[in-house]
Amino acid sequence: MIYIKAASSYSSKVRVDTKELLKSIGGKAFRRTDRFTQLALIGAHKLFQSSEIDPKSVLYLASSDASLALFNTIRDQKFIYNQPPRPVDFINMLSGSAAFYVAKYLNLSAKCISLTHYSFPAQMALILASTELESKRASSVVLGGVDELMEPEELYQKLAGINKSIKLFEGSNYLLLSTNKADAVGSIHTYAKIQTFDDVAELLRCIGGNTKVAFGVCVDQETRELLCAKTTAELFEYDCGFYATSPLFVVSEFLDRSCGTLLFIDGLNDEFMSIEVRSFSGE
Amino acid sequence: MSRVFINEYELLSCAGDTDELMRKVYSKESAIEIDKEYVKGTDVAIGRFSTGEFFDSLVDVVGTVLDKSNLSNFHDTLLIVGSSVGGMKLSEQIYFKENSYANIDPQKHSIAVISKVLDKEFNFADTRSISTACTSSANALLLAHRLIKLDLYSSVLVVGADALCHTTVCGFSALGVLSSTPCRSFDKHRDGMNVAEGIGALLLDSVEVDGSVELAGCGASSDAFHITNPDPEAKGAKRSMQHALDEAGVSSDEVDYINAHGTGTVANDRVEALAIGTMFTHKTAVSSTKPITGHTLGAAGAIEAIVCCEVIKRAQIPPQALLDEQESGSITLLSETKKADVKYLLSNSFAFGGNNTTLLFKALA
Repeated sequence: MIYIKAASSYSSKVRVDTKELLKSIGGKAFRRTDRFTQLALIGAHKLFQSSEIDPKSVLYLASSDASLALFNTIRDQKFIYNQPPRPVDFINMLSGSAAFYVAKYLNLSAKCISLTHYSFPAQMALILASTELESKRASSVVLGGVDELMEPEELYQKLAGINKSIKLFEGSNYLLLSTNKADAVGSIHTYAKIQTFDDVAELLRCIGGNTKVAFGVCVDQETRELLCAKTTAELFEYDCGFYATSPLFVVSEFLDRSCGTLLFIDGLNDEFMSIEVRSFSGE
Repeated sequence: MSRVFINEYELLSCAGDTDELMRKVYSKESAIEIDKEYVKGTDVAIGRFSTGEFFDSLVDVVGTVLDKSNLSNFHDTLLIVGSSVGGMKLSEQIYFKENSYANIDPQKHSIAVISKVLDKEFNFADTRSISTACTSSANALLLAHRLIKLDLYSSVLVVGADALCHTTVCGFSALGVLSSTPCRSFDKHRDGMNVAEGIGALLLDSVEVDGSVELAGCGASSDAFHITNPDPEAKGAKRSMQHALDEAGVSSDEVDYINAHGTGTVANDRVEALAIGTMFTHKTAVSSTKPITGHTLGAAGAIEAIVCCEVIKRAQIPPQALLDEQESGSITLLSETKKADVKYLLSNSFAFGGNNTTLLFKALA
């Protein structure tokens, strides 16, 4: 069983001044960071404030595309201004340096991995984190999901393959995972394989009475209604627009506001992935 | 828990495919060329494929692995890609063709474009992309190892792939770490690395076949020290190698050969030699194959894993190419190929941010 020792969430529907936000937590140390890294650090800071993190924890940092904005900067430097990339921009773009800065900030000395996935980056990272813990290669994992709000919005809705009516957000959400139940706030299970509509329908038919259901932002209304018809479970509502790692926000929200079990069903292009979260609140 | 076997593989580098690369490795023949165009006013030594477009070559290499394997398709196989530049070359090609960036597609620029191209061609069960700079495909192998070991997948194809592009060559040049000659790993007078393109694909499985090599252990660590420089005390590098040894239940004196990261930069080689020299006091043979292939960035881990598999199969330990004067006496660099039955081999990959990964391979009887 994988336990959640702590969760932190940060979501925003506007591009906030991350540099300004970081000033309060040691801006000087992060002066060479790009905005994506700054966003990653904001979420990491919230986790750091709410929990004690073992320096031997493994770090997984998931994102749909990491720092596309930085690519735009470097592209302009090179193609418009005919300049070589600034070393600091090049390093930040190439190395997935957000994970480095998060590891450094949290004082983590074990493995750190940046992972990207088009549809389900948070779930993919959760699966890998589970293997890390189940194989006893680590006793705890810091799992983050970071996605930056990009402009123009229409272009990124198109790139993400989502409907124009879906509002884009950005976020930096973290879970501290462990196989040790002591002081845990909940448990989590990620279904390892991509699911079809029928797989999800079957899952919904089998869920217990104390389970709530939530859908990913991209699951359309028609699909939601068809799936809801398979169960009498109560819906868990949350307020968040689209970014690829938003499932971590939903997990965090559920742990914060609810009790019992949540079946979170995320979907894109007729493919689904499910996460089951149990909150220990009130137990 | 399952054991993990590397059953098939193929690569493409500036030194050619697997067979051609190994011939050059053993004869110490560098495939790096001097280029006067990439960086204005500066000679840089780089490695590029002799023929073919990168993404066509990518499909060819993976197709070769499928043909060699006992699989009829990859429909039940997970694909894990390790790359640091992804589709950056595609973006550059659009710009150079159109003299405008208006049609550059950020989605095709992303790291995940490699898995998308391969998935479209071969229809994998699922895909993941890992981007941790120069440890990308080593980490992809590490994750594949975990997933098979825990029986979540029985078959995983790991692809390390990075194209040569202007952004990386100019970027590393801006960092001042590019050499104008083929790199001289572990040499006292080394002056930097060579950026090169490369593709390596390895099919990992829970079932052993004739010719399998076991991926027996994987280790990783984070220096969390500096964004570009390794920890000068090599603590992270040592931890990474120790984790790999521990997972396989192997002691350092059982290791016969280490394929070092050995980029030819002053900082990397000094720290890596320190780490190896401290841990492997029984004179394990060490070499870096980067003077032959250049540094293929995110593909390096996969390509050097294939080199390790070949070292086992050919029972020949490679010499260190382009070595005039060894800097550190604490590691054993061979001047000539040595015939030897090897049982355990290590491969190191180290990256920006002190991201360290070590793979341990075991020869099977």
